[in-house]
Amino acid sequence: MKSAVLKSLGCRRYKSEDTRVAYAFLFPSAVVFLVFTAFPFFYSLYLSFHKWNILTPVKPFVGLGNYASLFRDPDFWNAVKNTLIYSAGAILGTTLTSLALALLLWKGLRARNFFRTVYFLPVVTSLVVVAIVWSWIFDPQFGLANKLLKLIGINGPAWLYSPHWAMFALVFTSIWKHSGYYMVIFLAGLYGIPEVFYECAEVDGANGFQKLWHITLPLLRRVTALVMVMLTINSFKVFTLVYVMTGGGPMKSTETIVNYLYRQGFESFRMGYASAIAWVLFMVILLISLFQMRFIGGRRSAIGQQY
Amino acid sequence: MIRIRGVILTSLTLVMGVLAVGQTVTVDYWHFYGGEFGRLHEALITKFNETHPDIQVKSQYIGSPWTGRDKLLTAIAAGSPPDVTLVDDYWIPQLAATGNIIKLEDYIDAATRADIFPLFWESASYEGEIWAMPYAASNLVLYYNKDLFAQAGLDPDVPPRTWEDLVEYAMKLTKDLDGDGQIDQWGLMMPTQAMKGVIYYYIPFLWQNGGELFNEDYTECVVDSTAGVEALQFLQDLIYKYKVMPATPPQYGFRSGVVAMTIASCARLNIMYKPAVEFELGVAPLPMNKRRVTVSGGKLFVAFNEKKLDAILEFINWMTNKETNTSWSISTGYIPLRRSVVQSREFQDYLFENPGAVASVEQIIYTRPRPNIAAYGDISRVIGMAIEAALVGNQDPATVLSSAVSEANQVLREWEERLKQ
Amino acid sequence: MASNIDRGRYIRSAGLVGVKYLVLLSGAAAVAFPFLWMLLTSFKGPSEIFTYSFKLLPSKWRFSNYLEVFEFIPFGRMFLNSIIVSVVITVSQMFTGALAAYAFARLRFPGRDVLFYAYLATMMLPEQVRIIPSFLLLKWMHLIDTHWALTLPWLAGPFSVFFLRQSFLDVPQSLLDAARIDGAGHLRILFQVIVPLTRNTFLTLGVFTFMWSWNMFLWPLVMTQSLAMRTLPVGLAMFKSQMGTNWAVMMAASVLAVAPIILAFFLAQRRFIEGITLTGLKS
Repeated sequence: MKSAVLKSLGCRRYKSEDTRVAYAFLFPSAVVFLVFTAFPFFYSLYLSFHKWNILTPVKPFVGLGNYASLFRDPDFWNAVKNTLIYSAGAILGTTLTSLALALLLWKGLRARNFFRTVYFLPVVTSLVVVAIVWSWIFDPQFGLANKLLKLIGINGPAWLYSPHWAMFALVFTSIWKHSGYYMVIFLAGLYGIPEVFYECAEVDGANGFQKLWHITLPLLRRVTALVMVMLTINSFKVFTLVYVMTGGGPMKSTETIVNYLYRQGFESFRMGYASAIAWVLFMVILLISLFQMRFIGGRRSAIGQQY
Repeated sequence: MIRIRGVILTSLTLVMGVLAVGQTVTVDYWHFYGGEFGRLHEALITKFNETHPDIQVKSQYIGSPWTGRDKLLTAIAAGSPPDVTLVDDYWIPQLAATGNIIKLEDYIDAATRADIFPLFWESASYEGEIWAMPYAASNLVLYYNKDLFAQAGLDPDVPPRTWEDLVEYAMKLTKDLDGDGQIDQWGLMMPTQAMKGVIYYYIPFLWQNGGELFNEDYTECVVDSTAGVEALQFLQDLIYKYKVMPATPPQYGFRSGVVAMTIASCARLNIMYKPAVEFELGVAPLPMNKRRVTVSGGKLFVAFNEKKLDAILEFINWMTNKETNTSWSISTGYIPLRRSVVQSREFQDYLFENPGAVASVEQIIYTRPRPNIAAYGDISRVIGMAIEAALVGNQDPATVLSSAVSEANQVLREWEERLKQ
Repeated sequence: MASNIDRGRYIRSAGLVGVKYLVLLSGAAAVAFPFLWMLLTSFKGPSEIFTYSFKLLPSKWRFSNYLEVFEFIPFGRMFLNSIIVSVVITVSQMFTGALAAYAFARLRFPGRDVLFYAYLATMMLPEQVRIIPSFLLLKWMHLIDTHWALTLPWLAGPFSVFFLRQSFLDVPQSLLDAARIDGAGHLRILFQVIVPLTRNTFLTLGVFTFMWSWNMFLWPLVMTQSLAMRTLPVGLAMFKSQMGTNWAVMMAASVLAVAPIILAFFLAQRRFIEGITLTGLKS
């Protein structure tokens, strides 16, 4: 009776043994978190309510002043716009490319380990090298990209010098660099699908496309959600790629939120303001990720119930 | 019992005393020199350590000026900066204004003060007093490809001397070699993007035209004057009217021989250009207009640790003395700091054997450093964006400069506020 | 009649495979090009590196560039530092991650979901605003310039937990129940049932963790002072200079720095097992 009432109120009975084990298992991670992550995390929140120029210890309190300035700051909104454009392109492009690669390199192909390693190479190649080579390829006059376009009769744009095309070049480079990484994640997921499903389908006479659509993709939902959440977090936080390739230009057309935050914090010495920007970004990423996990991963993924 | 304690105490004190006298002071030193410059720099430090057994300098390369800055700022914020570090000249006002570094005004002797060129003391000063010790400085020069000059029928030993010359020469040097309608060889190149520091290249043109960045007491930005707009217009015309300069400079255009002239730092001569080019390299002073002037950038020593000041001073004095500076300038291409270096036999011989190095030294008398105010960093970004808009985006110079000026003035106000705190 | 259909199907599937190879090879060329450029450049001399006439191959193979790397920086020591740091972090995160992921995926306790999302959320705050307070913290703990500064904060991390949890969620409850009936405690279930089943995920996590800890740059730069503590990416940066980088030697150093990761990846990939055998289900 009591348990029925409690259940209807949404309370669950927790096995006390489970709880004890859970806390024991979480202990190592919790210690590291509390000692090394919690302090910087909350300190930056504290900073966001103050003004601080790094060079002096003086930190005048400004309450929500930084946040108010944010909303009136056109450069901030420009950064938001740029980040959204970049993220949309990177998330979609990378997810599709890496999924396609994983499906191609999953089975039934000789030398797939070779190909997988090759496609992983951009992931390990240093960003410095990537920036040099791609800036070279995208050079408007002498670079490979425009030379190839010329062959099919198109006069290529100024790429990294053009406010319209620089973002495209960045997204392209990003997809190129990161697809191998997510390909590996998809592969791990694909290998987790039991053979038996496909055997049954073949008995029923399903062809390749049907197998893909009705078995593979639905069973990859959780992995896809994982990939998209990771891509979201990483795309919204993009910094180094932009810094090295365009510096936020030309004319602020590729300045993303973290690049803007860095400029404010470390170049203009407004660390309090930078922290406020970071916290707004954090809130946004959190909301979007929660939404993605719920929506794409399916209900189970969002609240983690077992079968 | 008491006697024994007394003996122990006395002997301990004696031992401490002996140790104190023979103590070596360790000086923590951070710098931004990597690559070949780094090697040369570290070699000098090693030499210092060998000749000064009582002072050991522990040097550390802290990365490019980008990441190194993060490290330095973090250390300052946490109250544990290095004892001494080498910084770019535009850091001096900020570090001095916030009381982070030690004022060196009273520690520099008259001989040094007279020997080092006044130009360098300007960057080292804040509000009229010396806060840093100059170490390395460069100015902008015009590099040119003598082979391409000869090909275009120009005398390789007569570089352009005025703005008009520059346009004329560049037009002869800009060619469409294969007739496909696209220019394959450019006359001139310089950075056009804010992130590549385009403002540094605009400034000499501004000054040569009689313009200024700020008014006399640095309370207002005046770059949108007629002179300023004209200077920017000139650069823009090079790209869009005369079409001798690309809006998108190819990265290694000059070195690979596709661009005939370039304006760049004199410090690139020995390490960056000479070993890498396959043509005959020419170096000339910048072309002039109403005035003859070029801009300088520099690196200076700043001291953080009061307790080790004596050791620090010994170190920086040695690194900038006549002997060390002579070998440093010769191997790198930086301008000599001291008159005595320029006049020395060794350096004169070097100039004779390397005519390319003459241009930068020749320009010393009309080299100016950038304004030494705390707000300069932020303002240079604002103006840099405007210049980029004009050069890459082909926007109207008057318009972009006037909006840059209103933003710059706001920044000036803000910095005034901040410094009051 | 049957053989005609079979032949048709065979030709079609052979054609498909051919197309697959074509796509993959051209993609591979595009993908490998920068890496190839890096490799080839590491054998060039200083005047050959940037020409617009696209000379890909060096005119003279300079192996001496690789020797110069060892002369310039204490490469051996840094390599060792990087290995120690990366291995410690990788092993530790796989262990702490497995424990925490198990708790979040298969156990029920009050506040579980809130705690998980809160933990996950810490990944979302940009590193740039955490670097100064982290430095302050480590300085207060007197850990600056020690191996501890490079490893302690990373012994556990939300990414590993997140990654493993997704995989743990997919293990069928029936298997776990079977193990429980056999009298296994949670630890045994975790290490003897779940871990073998999610082997691929662990391999992947291992490679990824190894890779990012190997490539960490800003953190080791800020947290270390002495050359002897430096890791490889920081050492590599020493080849760069504002006014003239010896690109060839830098590429040589980059190749050396990247080689272990590629090796680790290749080896891990070969051990990926295909599908999981659900012996438990059949009964």
